[in-house]
Amino acid sequence: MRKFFSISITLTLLTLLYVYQNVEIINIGYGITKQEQLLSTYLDEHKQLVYNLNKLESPFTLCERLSSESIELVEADVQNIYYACVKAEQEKPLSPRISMLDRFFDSITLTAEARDSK
Amino acid sequence: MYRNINRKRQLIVLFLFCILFICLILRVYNRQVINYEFFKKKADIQHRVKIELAPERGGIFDRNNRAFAVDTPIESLYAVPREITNKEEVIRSICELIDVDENIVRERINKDKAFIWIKRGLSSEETTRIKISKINGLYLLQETKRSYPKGDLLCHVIGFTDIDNKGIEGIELYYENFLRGKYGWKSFFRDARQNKISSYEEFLPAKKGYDIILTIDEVIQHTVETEMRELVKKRKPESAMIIVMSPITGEIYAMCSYPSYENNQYSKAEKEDLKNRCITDVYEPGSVFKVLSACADIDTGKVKPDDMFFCENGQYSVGKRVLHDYHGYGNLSFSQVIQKSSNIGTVKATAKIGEDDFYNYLLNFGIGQSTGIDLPGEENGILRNVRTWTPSDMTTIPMGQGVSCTTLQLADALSVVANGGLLMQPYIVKEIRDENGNVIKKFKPKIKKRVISGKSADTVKEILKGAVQSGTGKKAILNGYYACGKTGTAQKVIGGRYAEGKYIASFMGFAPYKDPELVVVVSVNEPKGDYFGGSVAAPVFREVMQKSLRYLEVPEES
Repeated sequence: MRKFFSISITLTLLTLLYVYQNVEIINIGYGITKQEQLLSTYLDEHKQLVYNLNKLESPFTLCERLSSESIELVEADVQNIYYACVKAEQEKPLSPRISMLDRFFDSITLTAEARDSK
Repeated sequence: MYRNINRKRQLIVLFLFCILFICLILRVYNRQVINYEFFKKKADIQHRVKIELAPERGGIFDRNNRAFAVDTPIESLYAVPREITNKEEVIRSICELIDVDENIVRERINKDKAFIWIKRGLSSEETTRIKISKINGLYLLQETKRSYPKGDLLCHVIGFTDIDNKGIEGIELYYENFLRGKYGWKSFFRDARQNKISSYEEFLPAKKGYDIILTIDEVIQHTVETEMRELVKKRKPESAMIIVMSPITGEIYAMCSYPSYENNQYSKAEKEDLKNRCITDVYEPGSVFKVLSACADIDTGKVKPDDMFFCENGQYSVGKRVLHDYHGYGNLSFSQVIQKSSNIGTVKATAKIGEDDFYNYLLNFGIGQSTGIDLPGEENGILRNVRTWTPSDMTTIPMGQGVSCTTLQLADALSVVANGGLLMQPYIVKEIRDENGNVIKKFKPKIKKRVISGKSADTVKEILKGAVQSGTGKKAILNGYYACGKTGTAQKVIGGRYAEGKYIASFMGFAPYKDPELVVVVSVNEPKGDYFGGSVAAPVFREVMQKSLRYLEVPEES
């Protein structure tokens, strides 16, 4: 009798655990759905903003904006254009530091090294 | 005895419970095992939903990744008529909230259907009003709409899509298979309140369409369209076309035709406005065609730039025809014949090479054949087979009459002179990329054939330089660069006859002289007032070429 009751109680507890797990899964599912909706809203807003940005950057829009503020773009004379360029600093080549121990082991072991291809 | 009666009663109750329990077991067995499929199907219909995931359409960008066509999200309104009890009230409310025809709404809501569209593509204000109203039986569905942020810039090349986001014109149509993407699907459960349960979801994500990168440069296109607007304002033509092309690679930097339309509102445009006239309009080119005649004459070796031709002082009877020059000339060198655009001199020079050779050269230039550009609706033009030519054809075709071509064919033919003799394949799409930026397909410059030798091309180039510096194309002279080009003023053919007072004014040219970077062709159909190519089209060429070369930072020529 005792065995029967203990088995019944164990089975009941396991069943309750299974039900609880499934309920939790469904609750998390609801949470995921909400997040998906939020993500979808943000993605849509992003697309709309990208579109608006492209529209604002459109050449005709820019020209209209400039003319509405009485700004006229003038092409610079070639003589008035100066190109500035900075010389890149010469990089010193890095020399690898190899310890005496590494040299000893390199000399006694066979290595297969990949060659640089140019 | 009492004990026995009790025991009997217990057994009867136990027996009844056993019967009930067995019935219950049998019932459950019937539901869960025998009729499993039937009830599962019923449950799936109630709880399981499978929806199609529409793919995002690929974008269209210029060569510097500036967007010309993108997808934007929109809400569309639909109704479930079976859920609407007070139909008239709902119809009135809908008409108050959104801009829609009441009769159409009434007709649709009165149908006995589970789903009907009320209006697709609501504005953001309409969407907000519908959301606030919370009318039973009305629902919003999210869709995507094709949007063109640059307005009418490059409208004819880009084209447009229909309400289902399917390309029906331009690049949208030509590259529909790449832009479309692939549908996905999603399968999920819904609870008793129709809320989605994501936990047991299965899905195949939709695959976004590929992005198209054009050879077009937005800045050059804008320059061209600005000059087109000025031209239209000044000359009020019936139509006009401008093309900017690289003679070295065949890439199209800009393509513009008038009249035009706004991509976002293409349904409001006239049918005639939708045509990309740079490739659909075929016309007799007139004197610009003399460039091709000059190439043929020089390349055969039978005509040299210094050969002298007597131009009959402007009037020349040949066969049944009388040829006229606009100005009467006496003796001109072949270079001067082209630079001063003498019809008589051109006809005499081309007569030296014969019709067979001349015809073959025109075929090699691509006249009478489509260029094969990746745009829909291209026309071939007309070049009759040489076997059908009459003697008078050799007095008309060399000066650009009795033959017809598109503006693009002229640009492609002129590129032969600019690049040293090669006919290039014009193209307008540079690359196709996936959503991660990986290149799926790359289009490279393609040489169709060698038409003339490099030496012949240089000779003609020199002649065309003179045409601008001292000939009919003086209004095309640039600052800082030498331009080479040819003017044309062609009388229009209407109803099979040359129409009085109706002309097509053209100028085609390239620059810089030493290492040509750009070819520009301008054609203006029926300009009002002045109608000469030199005064109508050449100034437009100058503005477009000057600004484009400066923008591309092409070094000036000393």
